[in-house]
Amino acid sequence: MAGHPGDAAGHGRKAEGTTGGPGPLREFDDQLRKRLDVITDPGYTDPAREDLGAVDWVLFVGFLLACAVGAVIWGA
Amino acid sequence: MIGLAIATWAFLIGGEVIEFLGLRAGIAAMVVGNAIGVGLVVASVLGDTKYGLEHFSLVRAVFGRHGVKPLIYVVNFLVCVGWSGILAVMFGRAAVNIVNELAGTTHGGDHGLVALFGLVALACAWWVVVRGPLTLRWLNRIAAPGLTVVIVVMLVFLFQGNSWSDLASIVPLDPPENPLLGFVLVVEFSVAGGLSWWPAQGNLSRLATTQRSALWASVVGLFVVTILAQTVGLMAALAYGTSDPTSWMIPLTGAGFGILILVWIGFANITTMSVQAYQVCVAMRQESVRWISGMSWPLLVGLFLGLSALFLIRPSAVYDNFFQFLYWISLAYAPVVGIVLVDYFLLRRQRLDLRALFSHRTGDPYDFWKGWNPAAWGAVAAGAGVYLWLLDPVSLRSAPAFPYMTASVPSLLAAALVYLLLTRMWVIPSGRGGYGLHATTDFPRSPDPNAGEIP
Repeated sequence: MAGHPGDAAGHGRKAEGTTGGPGPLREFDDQLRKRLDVITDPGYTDPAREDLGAVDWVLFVGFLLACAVGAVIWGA
Repeated sequence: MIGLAIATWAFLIGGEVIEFLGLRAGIAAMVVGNAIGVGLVVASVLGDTKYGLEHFSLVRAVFGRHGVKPLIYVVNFLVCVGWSGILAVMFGRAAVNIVNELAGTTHGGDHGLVALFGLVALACAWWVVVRGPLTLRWLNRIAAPGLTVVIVVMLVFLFQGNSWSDLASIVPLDPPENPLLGFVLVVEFSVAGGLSWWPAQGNLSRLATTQRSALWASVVGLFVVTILAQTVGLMAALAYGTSDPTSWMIPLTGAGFGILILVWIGFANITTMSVQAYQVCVAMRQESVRWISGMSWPLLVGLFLGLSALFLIRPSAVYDNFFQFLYWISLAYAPVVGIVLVDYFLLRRQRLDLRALFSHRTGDPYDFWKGWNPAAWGAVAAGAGVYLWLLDPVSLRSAPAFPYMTASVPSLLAAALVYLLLTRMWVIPSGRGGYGLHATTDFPRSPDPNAGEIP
């Protein structure tokens, strides 16, 4: 049986590989270590923390608005 | 995201349009509704990408650590139970259509076999979820590409037997006297279709590496691809005069292809039900309600899917009035999305205190009043009231203003406004909610970093 965060049975099993995770999670150990090396670097800044810029907001709202207005003109 | 967007419910939503509108107006209404619904949802979950959090953990900043629980254990739970029940009915009907074709029977949509096969689908979903996320990942990898092939096959067969003008000339089944009302009823349930992604979209967006990639992937997956799948559903529904996708396939493609497609729809539905059950049960586990945290995983999943089985008692009751189920989703989620948008963008300027989100100490920023933010739930009540005033999801009675403004948009705006006023005039002056503590380092720490019950 594959382990997962919701698997209550997993708490009682001996962890193999990743701490607290059952056997199959071992395959992720190398990936996790590499990722930890990257994000614990003092110079690291998480790109996800960068808020959406004005250009993206304008394109996003403009695209949806253009689709909606175009659809009404074409079909309604 | 594309996997979710082209799930079989896109066919159902597209098929429901034929109650009110024909082809061109139907596509237009779906585009407008999805643009509103998806646009609002995508913007409201950008915080999930920024902080990489499970969706309802982030929403604690709005509702409080206890206040978020009704959202998880009642609203999200019931919505997902409903979706799973509807997909189980669709599985049952697909199976009965195959039986009818092979055995020459004419079992109807409420025949006992529909319920029996629906139960089989729920049992299969339970088995998949109990096996864990690796099995889910494997199923998802083949379900979504398979459904893409189904859409292409359907399009080919549709245009073999019909021209665009044939399909455009077919009239809707039960259009209201006021054409604008029919148009907005479709816009309304398309908005609801978009809003129904809210929890799932939050959890998917948190995996994106930048907010820009999360936003544009969502626009393509949930808006563009959804519209394509719903349009194919609408065209098939118009061609065969029924909104039930399981009724189209054999007449459309012939027995051989039709049975294959129905089998695939059944398989895809099991995958979707499994994903729903997994995310709901994991969210329930994470909120530290003791008797649920200690419950065995197979039992918790079984309870969730078991409740979905109630929809099999009389399959046509909800399945054949599917759009009304969507209105209920809109009633529940529109006010919440409005509140989250105002809180995140206007009041908190896109900054949250991560540590405080997981703190259980009285007086911490997101503790509000003993873990509850009454302003948020008051605003939800106001938004839901506005929705019910504009549109009754059961009788479809609508206020005169409904055709000009929908129900979900005013509901969202009313909730957002009430929340803004209550927060500015009551919550912030009371020193609750951590407003003004905009940097993650502003939150005053306990001398003992382990004092907080951080899970």
